[in-house]
Amino acid sequence: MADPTITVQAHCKLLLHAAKYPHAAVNGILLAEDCKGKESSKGLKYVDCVPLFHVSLGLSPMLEIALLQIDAYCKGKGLVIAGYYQANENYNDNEINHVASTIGKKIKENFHDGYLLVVDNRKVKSNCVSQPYKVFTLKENGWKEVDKKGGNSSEDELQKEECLEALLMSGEQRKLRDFDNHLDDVRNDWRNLEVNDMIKQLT
Amino acid sequence: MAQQMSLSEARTILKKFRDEQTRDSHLIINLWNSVLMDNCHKLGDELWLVYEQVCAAALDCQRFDTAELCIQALDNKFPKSIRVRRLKGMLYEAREEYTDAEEEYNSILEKDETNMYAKKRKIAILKARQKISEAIHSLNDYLKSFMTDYEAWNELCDLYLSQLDYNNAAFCLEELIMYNPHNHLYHQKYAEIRYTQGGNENIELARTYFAQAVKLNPNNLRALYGFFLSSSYLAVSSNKGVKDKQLNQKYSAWAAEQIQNKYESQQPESQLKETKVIECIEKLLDSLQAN
Repeated sequence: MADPTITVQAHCKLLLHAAKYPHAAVNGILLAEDCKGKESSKGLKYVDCVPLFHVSLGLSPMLEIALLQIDAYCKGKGLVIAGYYQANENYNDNEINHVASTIGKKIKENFHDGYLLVVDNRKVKSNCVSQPYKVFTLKENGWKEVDKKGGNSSEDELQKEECLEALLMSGEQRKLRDFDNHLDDVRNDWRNLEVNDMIKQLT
Repeated sequence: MAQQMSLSEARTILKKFRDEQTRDSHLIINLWNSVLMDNCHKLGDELWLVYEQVCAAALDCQRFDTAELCIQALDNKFPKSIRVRRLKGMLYEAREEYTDAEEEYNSILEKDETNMYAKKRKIAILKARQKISEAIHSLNDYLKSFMTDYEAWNELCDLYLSQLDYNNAAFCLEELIMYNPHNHLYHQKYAEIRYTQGGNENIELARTYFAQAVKLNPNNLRALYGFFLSSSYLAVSSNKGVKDKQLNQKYSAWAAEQIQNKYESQQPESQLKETKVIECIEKLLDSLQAN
């Protein structure tokens, strides 16, 4: 199986989420275009992401609510919940823990080709971010890291790096809203349209 | 952004962060570099608090040069201060020189055996080294002497959660609720843990505590959602007969209404149209009635 392609928007938003809460674990949902019934040989492409939590990742009720809402939103948009990302609290910890594994499996039950992304904290620096996450897929005997065959061209990578750097420089991570922010105040929009626009302008 | 800020503005922001214990280390460092560093002689006695604050922020951002500068200045002003030595310990920690850090804290504890900061830092080291079960053990010991340290109970709860030990995590919250029966957040978190554990008995407990959280703070959306989820669950799977199911159905309809009102009154229409929250809740409610 080839590794999934990740658009600039999904890439930047998930790293902005980690940058907004550097002292906490964060997680979120990756969205892909719904290709059901359509021929698609291009492989999986993550077009967007929804940042979920930074307070407590291991409790289920708010996660259920978040997934219900995101699912309802996706159906209207021709998108589908297709993956999960997590950045752990401990700087040196880039392993899959129980929470990631459980949520990842649940997503895979509903979307067969789902992947799990774990942010490699050590590779996220303000001036150079390359291959900042590990990509895992579920095999019979557990989660296995996917070999990167360079599905993304180096030009893509460069664009992502430049875009993220510009976003971080302007402090755009402060504008990113996750589902925890949404639950604090429903006006906080987890779709992050403003950040999306900013990313569009930069690319 | 930070360049145009005046000294007094920067000062106010830092003071606000100190009072509210906001952790925005990156901004603190930016303010320090762009405004405060060159004007520190104008800060008066506030300077020492600012040094302490900037030092902690610098450690967060791995800016060791700035941290060293702050510690040096504080050390000159307050030689032998335990508070300054704590910062030194934290500098070791940030560099991952844990043995040196531990020595620093141990020597603080030799002088002042009830120093809670040094004790907590030592537990933080265990956590940083991913020795979670040892950290849990030490934190339990610590809480025997500092029973009213709410943050510590909360931390212990999260450590237990990371180990999937829900019963002990719930116990920490029970302690917190006992000391602060009017804090809705503790009720809410307790309920979230019980809900996560699952099973009719736990979900009934969850419903009760979510309800109490809503009563204490009707604006707590997490608690409303939790109340909605747990009563919806019981409306389908309660083993206490038809009457109990109907009662729970009523509860969930009430919660749904509260949640929908919140969205309708607060979220802009364009957002509602795309996120479809109202319809989503409506659908869940309908599925209960069909049961």
